[in-house]
Amino acid sequence: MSGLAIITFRNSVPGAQGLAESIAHNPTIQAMNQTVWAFSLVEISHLLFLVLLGGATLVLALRVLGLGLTEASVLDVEGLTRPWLRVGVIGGSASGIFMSIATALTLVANGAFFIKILALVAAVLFSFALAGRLRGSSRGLVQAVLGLVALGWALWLFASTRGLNTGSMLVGAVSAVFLLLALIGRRGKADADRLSQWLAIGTVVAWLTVTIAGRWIGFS
Amino acid sequence: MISRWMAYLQYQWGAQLDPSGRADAYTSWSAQLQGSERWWMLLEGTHVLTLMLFAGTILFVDLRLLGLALPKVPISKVTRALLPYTVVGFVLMIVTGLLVYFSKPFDYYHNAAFRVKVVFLLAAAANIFIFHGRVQGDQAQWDANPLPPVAARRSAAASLVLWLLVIAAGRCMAYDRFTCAEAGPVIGALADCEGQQATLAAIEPEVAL
Repeated sequence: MSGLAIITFRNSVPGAQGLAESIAHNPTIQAMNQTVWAFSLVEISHLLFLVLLGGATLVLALRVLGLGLTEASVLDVEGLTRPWLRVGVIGGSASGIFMSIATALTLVANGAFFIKILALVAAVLFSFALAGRLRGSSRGLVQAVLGLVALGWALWLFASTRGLNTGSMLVGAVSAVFLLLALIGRRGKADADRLSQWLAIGTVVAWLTVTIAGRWIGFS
Repeated sequence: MISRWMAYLQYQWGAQLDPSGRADAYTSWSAQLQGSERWWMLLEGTHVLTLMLFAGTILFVDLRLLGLALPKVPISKVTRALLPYTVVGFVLMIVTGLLVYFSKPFDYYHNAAFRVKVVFLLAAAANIFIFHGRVQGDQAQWDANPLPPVAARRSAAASLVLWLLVIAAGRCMAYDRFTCAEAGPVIGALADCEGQQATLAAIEPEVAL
């Protein structure tokens, strides 16, 4: 399991290395990198946005699975969490892009970063599929399938890459606890349909993978 | 005195003695935890996750107390639904936080951001006690109100701001400029870098660093 080559943007996306080099050698970006306090502020805000979207995802998933806030309707909780999820996704992405630009040459060759981006695609797809489905504006099937492919690929890489697989253990352990909770919830007050429940589980596992892969960028 | 105790934890507790009878700092239990790659990564990763569980759920409890979320649902129902997750997150956060601290107790003790974080943590704890002790006393009267009384809203706002500051200060602990290695005069005084040097000089005969 641990002997496979590390997949990164550098060795899987043509032109990624060149783009990273041009970003790294850009005078404006080089000047930006010298502003240490700005980078620190962005790193702190990235963590805070993560807490926002983590909380919004978890609270909505708990409601969809019948594990909490069952006095409020699924639609009310979706409406409550939606702005926080959006602020978290937009703020997290903006701060993430700033950080990626500042460390482009490192990230383009980093396996955990590739996994994080894959999981991010899955997480956004699942979150929007779930919201659309709960509001009745879409069935969410296409996003669910695409999200599943992206998440499956991310988890496979996480588990099979030397030096990163400890992170996948953490994803597995926390996901197992959450799945167990979800199974208990299904015997309780889970009044959302089956696909919405699976999408809720998918959002939690995908955002979990994004967070843990993000932390593992620093470890690898 | 505390500095000396933290130095013992980091450099001497569980350490083997070298031929000259001094503790080999690289073999202490603290150093072994820091060096145990997998355990260290799992601990740090879990600490970040528990932050999301704890702060992510308390956010919505505080929003309800501020009158900004689920106005039709009584406050007690919101807290009953979410606080179990908040409490589990808090316990795991403290346990993993203590273990992460144990990996470098002397360094963290002399880290300005850590000291600020502890002050904010104590303030957040005091806010919880004030809320339970004073504000919540007559909750039955305003439990179903869309907009709780000023004291409850003030407590919720303080909770949000203080936990935000705890997280920000915690993130700052990783920056060298808050440690004695790169501290200026203000940060140096806050981190008691003179005390750190005094402790290092005092343990020099006992510890091989």
